[in-house]
Amino acid sequence: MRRTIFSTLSLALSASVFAFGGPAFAQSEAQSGGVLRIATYEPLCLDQNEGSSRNTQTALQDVYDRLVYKTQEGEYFPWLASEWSISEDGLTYTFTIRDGVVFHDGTTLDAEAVRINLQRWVDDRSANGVPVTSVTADGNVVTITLSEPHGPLLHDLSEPVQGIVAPSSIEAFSKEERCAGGPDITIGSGPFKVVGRTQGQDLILERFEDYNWPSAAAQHTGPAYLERIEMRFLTEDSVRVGAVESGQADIAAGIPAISVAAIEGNSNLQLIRTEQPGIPWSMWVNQSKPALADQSVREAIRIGVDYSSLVNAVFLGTSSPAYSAITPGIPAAYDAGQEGRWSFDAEAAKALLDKAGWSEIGADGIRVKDGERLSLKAVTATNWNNQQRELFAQGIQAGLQAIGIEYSREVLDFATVDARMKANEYDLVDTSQSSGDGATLLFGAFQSTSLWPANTNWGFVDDAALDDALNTAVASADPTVQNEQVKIAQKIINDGAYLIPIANPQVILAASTKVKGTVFSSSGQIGTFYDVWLEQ
Amino acid sequence: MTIARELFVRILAGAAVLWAAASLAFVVLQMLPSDPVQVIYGADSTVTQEMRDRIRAEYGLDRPIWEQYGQFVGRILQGDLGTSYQQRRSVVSIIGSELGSTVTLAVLATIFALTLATIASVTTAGKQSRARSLMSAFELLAISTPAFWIGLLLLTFLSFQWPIFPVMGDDSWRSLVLPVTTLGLAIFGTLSQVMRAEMDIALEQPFALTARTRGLSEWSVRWRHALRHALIPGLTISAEMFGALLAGAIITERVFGRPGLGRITLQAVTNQDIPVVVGVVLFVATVFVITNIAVDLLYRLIDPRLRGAAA
Repeated sequence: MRRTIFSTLSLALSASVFAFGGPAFAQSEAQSGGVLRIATYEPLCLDQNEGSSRNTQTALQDVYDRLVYKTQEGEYFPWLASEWSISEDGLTYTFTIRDGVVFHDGTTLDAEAVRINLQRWVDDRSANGVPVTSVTADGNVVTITLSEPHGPLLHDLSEPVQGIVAPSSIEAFSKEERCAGGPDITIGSGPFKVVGRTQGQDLILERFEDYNWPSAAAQHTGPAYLERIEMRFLTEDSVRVGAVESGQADIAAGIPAISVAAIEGNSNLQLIRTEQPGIPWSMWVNQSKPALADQSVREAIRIGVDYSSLVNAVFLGTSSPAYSAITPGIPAAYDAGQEGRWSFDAEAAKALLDKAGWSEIGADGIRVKDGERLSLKAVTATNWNNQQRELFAQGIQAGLQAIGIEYSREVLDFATVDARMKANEYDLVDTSQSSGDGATLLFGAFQSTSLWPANTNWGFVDDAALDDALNTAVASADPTVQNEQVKIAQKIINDGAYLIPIANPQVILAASTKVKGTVFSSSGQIGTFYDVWLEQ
Repeated sequence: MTIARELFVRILAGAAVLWAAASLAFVVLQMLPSDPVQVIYGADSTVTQEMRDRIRAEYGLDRPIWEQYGQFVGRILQGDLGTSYQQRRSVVSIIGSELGSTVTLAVLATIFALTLATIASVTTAGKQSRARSLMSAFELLAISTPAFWIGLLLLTFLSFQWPIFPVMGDDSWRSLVLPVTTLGLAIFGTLSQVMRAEMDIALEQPFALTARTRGLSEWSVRWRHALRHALIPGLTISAEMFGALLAGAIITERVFGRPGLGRITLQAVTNQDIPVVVGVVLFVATVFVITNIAVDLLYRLIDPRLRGAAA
């Protein structure tokens, strides 16, 4: 007996108007034409399979189509797969590939082309740990067989990194050539095709005129509205802001908190913002260290610093205080019931530390137990850090000092952080993680066997009830069950103070008021420029 | 020593310098605590053991250290600098594709700085004047202001405030003006100070007096005689200038979002993309060695006193 997830195109289209959180507008209103200029970050490698960075995915998500589309609300819509089904035991996924789809070079996108892409994912990336045993194509149907159920598979397939690349390009070009990319090399079936590429400078996309296979969540059919998209890569925050303020760019990505007020006060500009889906900026607490194995100490760290005031002071309204291991950016999996579970109370924190045996205070104001000072070393990687977090850490240091805990934070390059983690030379790790799939995130960060370097359980968390919830979530192909278990997991994580959530980051873009129809996808990025149009 | 023989010795010495630079880079990299596999996959946390093993084999990381060193040197001798961990492209092609942009920027910036420094030193050398104090102040300002700040100021006024030069798109010469000015100003101050000091000395020399008594105008003395003397120290510090250019290019390329070696270097260092770092180090060392040899030869051309003199 198979459970079939089936929705006809027309049904989905009419439903999408309600399902979509984006600005709904009447079809007739949208104008076609124009060039959209974007100031953003550069992708390192234009081959999806090699360059999995968020920058690569954001730059290329309109060049490649995926099998299914996932909205920020967590709903799935048909795209290249007109329908799909998952077997009762969760081991067999079948996708029916729609007819009439062609790549930018005119070659046909059929089930075989999809199979080649999925096989490449299995061969080159070991399917990112998804237990795939085989991928087969038969007629217009692609079948993925798993050795054990893996609920997040559908989500994984909706991610931009799973965009379908033309097999003609995979065959004709080396890994190196595809990474550099460019016209006639970077070939997908998406609404925009690559027509220009200067490394370190820009990526130019042009409308694909034959396009007529948008996802069922899209607002219109036929080719995209925009004629061209010009992405200019500017690393400096202030330069991107200047570009959009002076009207040289229509959209600027990665707006720093400091510039938000000026953009809000500018009548020619709009701020486009959304909650970043994932794990908030948090501190992973290393329980393999004797001091932190004690729950009282972890709770003291959680209430001993006034995190929520610091969030408001430092992030200037671009982040909200976090109370859970999942951000509100994954609405279906977020447990809002965790909000306000604790609040700042230095006296209670001191009492907890006293009770835990850290009652003796040394000459330097730091607590001592059995001759050991209560001193915590935090590490983070350069690419997980930013100016605000740097500043915030000074607040943490002052707050912890006041309750008798010494705190120091090192910002190191990722490779050094990796070495530190392997050697277990850290007490705290602070970072945020971004993904639209709560089950995979929490499984990676808290499941007892997900230790570094295979995954991100930096806290050495080992909790049978939590494992149970996470295993169930990852094994279930039913989003309802997944979300339910992810909510249970969030509660257990807070009960045990396994993580100290600090701030829910927001994705903030600045855009000209002429830019219409932007919608965020489940990845926390502008989901597609297919529906975006410019007021002439 | 004949020029040919001296050249041969210099080239040998240069090769030794390069070998030392490569070996030093190799040793330093071995001392880094990082696991290249983790660098290759970045913070992508789902790296299975078999993937690790495959990558290690692919990059030859599973071989003993001496074998790795042997292969490393062997590959360099064949002009192969390995493959970038991050971009999955050969380092030679990365440097090749970024080089043109940096050379354009550096050459234009050097011309800009040299022109400005020449005018400044010729017009203000040898006498105390208001112009000289002003110029000195400007030179000090250019030396002490970080290139980063100069770039942002130029952008703020000449691109954001008044849209004269674009920061988006690629408008050939107009996109070059601000980066060239930024990098040029970064090296102008030092160059100008050295050239003026040298001219001050030259104008006190007997030959300057002789030239004046022959009825040459002050301008001719400065432009035709003293300037030659000022160019020699300009050459001497050219190696230092080269370093300043490279450091300035890193900043300039970052601020203006231009392709180039500077940007690649910064990216590679931040991401511990070791093959690219080593590649850039070797490339820069090579240019450095060649520059030094070329400068020595140029001395002879500019300064007739060195011609035929026993070295």
